[in-house]
Amino acid sequence: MKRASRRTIFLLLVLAAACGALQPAGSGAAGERPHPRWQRLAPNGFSAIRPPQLYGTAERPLVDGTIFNYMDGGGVAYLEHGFVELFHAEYAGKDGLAISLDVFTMGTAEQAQAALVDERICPAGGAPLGFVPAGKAFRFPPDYFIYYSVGNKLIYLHVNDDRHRGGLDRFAVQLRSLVGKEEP
Amino acid sequence: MIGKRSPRGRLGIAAALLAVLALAAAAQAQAAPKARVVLARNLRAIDGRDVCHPAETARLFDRALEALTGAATAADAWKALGLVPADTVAVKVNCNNWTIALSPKPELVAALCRSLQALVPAERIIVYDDSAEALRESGFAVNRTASGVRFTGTGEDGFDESERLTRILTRDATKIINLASLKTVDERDFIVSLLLKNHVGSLVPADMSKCHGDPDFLAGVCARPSIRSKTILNMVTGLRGTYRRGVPWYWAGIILGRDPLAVETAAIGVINSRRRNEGLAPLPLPRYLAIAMDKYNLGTCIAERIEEVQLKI
Repeated sequence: MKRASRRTIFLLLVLAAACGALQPAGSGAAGERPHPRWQRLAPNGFSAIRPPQLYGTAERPLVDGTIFNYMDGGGVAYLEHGFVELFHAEYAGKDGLAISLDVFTMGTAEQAQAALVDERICPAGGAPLGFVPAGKAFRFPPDYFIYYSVGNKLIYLHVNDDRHRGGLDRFAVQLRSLVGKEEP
Repeated sequence: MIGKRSPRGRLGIAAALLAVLALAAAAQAQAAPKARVVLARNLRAIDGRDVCHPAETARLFDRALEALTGAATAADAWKALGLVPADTVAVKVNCNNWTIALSPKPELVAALCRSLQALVPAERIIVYDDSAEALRESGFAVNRTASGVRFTGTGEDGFDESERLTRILTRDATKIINLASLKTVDERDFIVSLLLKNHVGSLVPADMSKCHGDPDFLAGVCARPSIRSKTILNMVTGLRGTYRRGVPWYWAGIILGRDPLAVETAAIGVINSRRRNEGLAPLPLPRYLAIAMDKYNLGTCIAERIEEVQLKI
């Protein structure tokens, strides 16, 4: 009897472990998932000023709400391109320098690329980015910002002083490499 | 003694009366004062790196207010707009800085508050947006104390359930100033984010998204009793604005008037003149403006009924 109950408990444990392993990675809340390494990256000489924020859709809001909580009506254009969630982080450097990062996860890589050529999202004009074929850089003193896509992610980076655009470009390269490695 | 009139005679009199009435109506329309909108610019108020010059910005605001009201002093100008010393004034700003910072410059808000203090004490001026954090990020020191101008978000004060607006407008303020930014958003619903859209930030947060895809709802926000009856000045700051989404330029000016629709129409005119220079198609007037005019009677967006006063400082 004792042996039988031990066997039952063992079998139940194995079953429970198997169920956990079979659960899809995206089925839990975003906060429960292990954070990818790119989310912990900060630009050289900068540190995060607050924990990153996560925004979802009206149907699937995340800890900080929906995309409309972040950018008001501008969110409509992103939703049209299959927006799933947004990771937003802010970093502070010396002398008031500030960098902000938005990583928009779209449904597919095609949707991320389509968002990149939508002028409601990425303005017309801009200079090509050397490190990625579809990226664009914009210099509107004192602002400097860039858009590019990696897989199903659309990435936006901004620095509040265009004289430090080199540092932002370097961070973009690091980020691209990590996101590319960690995301399918 | 008055004799009997023939049916033809009666018809003639009726026709003559109608003609007189039509002429009188036309004359009245012609004589009706146009909505004055001042478009004031001072190229020294801001440089090409978004740095504002406080004294030049104050001069820009003071001269524009003078041109709008015809008053020689700030106190007289505010009195002309209906402000009285016992008033509490709420100033709605837009600090949504997503992508490009277009929030009102602290130097401009300081000039406005200083001017208001010619009539009301600092303690009865409230500068607010929906998010206190956004105010902070836009360079304003959040102040919820009883001393000095109050800078706050709407979350602290709660919302009026009947008007579904912040209590800052329904309970605290007796006068309102709508201070929007010259922002092009290039979206189907909105096209621009100016005065009417600015009060989205005064709404109960759960109602904010109702403005998307519903121009009638958006137009109706400014027709709610507190906003309609208490607003004395509408201003758009274009020290730095956008003429297409995400693309800024330093127009170095402000646009102000009493009529929100006339000011918004003039602001779109400013954006369109820049767009023409850039070879871009002009923006149409958003549908919510026509609804605000025809259904809610909030003012006019008909060019012939707007008197634009250009001021170069």
